[in-house]
Amino acid sequence: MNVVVCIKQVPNTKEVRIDPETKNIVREGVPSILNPYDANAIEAALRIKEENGGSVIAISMGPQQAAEVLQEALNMGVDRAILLSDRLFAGSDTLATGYALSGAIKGLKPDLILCGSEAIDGCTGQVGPIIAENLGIPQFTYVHEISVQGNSAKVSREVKEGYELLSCKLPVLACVLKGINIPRKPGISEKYPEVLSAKDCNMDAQRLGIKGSPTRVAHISSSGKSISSFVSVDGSLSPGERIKLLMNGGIVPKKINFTKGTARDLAEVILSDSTVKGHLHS
Amino acid sequence: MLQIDKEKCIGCGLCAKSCFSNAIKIEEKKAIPVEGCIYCGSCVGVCPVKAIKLETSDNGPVEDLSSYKGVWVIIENDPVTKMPKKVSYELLSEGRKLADKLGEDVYAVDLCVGADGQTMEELQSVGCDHLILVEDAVLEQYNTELFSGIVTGLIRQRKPSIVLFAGTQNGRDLAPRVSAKLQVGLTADCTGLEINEAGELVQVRPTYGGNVIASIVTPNHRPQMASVRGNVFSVVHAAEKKELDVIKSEILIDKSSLKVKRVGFKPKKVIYKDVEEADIVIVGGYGAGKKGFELIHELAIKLSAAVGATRKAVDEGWAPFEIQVGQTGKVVAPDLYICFGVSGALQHTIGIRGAKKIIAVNDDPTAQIFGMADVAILGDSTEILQTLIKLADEKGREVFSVS
Repeated sequence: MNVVVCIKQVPNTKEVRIDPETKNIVREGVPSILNPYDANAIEAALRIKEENGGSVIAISMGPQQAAEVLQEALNMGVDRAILLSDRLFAGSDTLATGYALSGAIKGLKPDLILCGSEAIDGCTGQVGPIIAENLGIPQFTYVHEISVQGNSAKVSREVKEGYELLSCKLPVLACVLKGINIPRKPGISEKYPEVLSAKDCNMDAQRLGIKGSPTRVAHISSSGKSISSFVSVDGSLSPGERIKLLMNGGIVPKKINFTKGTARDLAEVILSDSTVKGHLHS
Repeated sequence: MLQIDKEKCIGCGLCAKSCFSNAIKIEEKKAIPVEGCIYCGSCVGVCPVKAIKLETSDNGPVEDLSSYKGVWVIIENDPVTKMPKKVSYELLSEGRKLADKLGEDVYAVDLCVGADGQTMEELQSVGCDHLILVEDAVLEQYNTELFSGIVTGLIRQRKPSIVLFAGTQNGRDLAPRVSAKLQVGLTADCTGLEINEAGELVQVRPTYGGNVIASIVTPNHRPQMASVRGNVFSVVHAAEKKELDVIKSEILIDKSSLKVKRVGFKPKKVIYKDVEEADIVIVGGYGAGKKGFELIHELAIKLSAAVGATRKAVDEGWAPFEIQVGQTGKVVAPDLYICFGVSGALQHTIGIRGAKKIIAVNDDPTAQIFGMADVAILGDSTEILQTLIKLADEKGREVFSVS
């Protein structure tokens, strides 16, 4: 049983702050972390290995710094960790990233590939299915439970209405949700991540990085450019328009009229809302 | 490749400040490119001495792009009613606007067991020109292999310029698979779609946890594909109803060799009131605490409201992912949104743009959420929730005794 886990180092988007003076996003000092969903993918891989034997390989595409999250994977107990790092990968969109990862994974001959359901920085959830397509294997997304028996995998896939129970023969790729397990705390490993380049994996340079990426960033802006704690906009605008303004950064600071008082006073304010009233009467 | 002319560079640092991915650092008063460039070109524009060049080594289009015409929406059907979900009509409405700008037609692509008259009438009402219909009993349940094969086949045959997918679990399962088959671009969870002067689709989406807004184009590949979540666009009824042209597809469906088998279905035990559809949504944030969530649930039952949660609260395990509201999660559009202990991070507020009224409760006067609220209540969430539950009981009884 050979399990490959795809992981990513991401900026901890929860720690992104707005500079109160310049109103710009403070990017310095934002810690880089293992994408939270990927920790669940590693845990799921380790549990499958514990039950079925075999080995777990963690793989990540990124700059040299991304070796940190691979070390974390080794510390959690994976057998091998591979960092795909190459200047040719710069500017990759999801299609080019999926190509690079599948190019490296192919040589590892996996029975099962696990990914987190999405990364918290880009939030696309696209790379997993693209890898599966490139390798010509089935995929399970939004996986809430997974088990492997013999040469087949069974999953519970979460959709809006409930859980689909799906099964298929290995090899297969699964993208797991956070609720699938609670990741173990990392221990200490004496192993270190290996580093591979595009050449090491015989990749086609035309399909890598910016060259291999159909999408281009035409424009980028800080959504919270002039957000500070006390800004508000014209009260006559709808909340949607106000939020849009906040996102576009064009806001005129205005003092907020706070409603204060005893808990009872404040509760009364909420209950006097016409929509709430309508619901109380029904 | 990002190239900085060291001779010209004056080390002012404007490029590093403008960079969203920290891909430029200043060393010994010179700007140096480091890893992480996303080729957005922000630095090129801000450099006062024009020392920065960005070569994207553009190879140009691989084929004649002008042969691609039409705006497609891949319909997603509700598993119970077998009718298109609301999000499909939202996409068709937005697709109509794009098609009008391009002077092209709107196509609904429906993979289903069979389309009925009511669906066709509703498609007409949102200004859809054509319905590409693929009918087969096997299409009752979504299957990645089957659906991606059919959609890819149709796109290859008929060459649309734009394809829009619903940002649901199935839509987000299907779209990347199709993009890899066709080797074209795909932008997930767009919050805005526009057509630029070059006639390209501009796909606007938040990234970096909602802290950055990126506009993305696909200059050399067709079709241009995007997914959009529910409640991002509105359903717009067309002024005049046009005849709907129904195209029955002759595409070959190979169902003999499907690898994945559906062996069962388990409905959810706790059925949360649908946060996407509810007219009152009560959201708890990190500031609400675990206890706060218990109270929010109690209040929601009394007001027959839906409960939502921020990502931080879901990460703490106080609420399930399915009720997460925000960029990662559901987009809501209630008449009234009430939140307790929500700070107002963009990752969350992106998901509440459609709310008609916002009441925010927080004990931190600097919480960003107050900047967007209609009613800014400064106070303790737990205390106010407890009082609300008590009062809602009393008021409910009053009403009951009067009527």
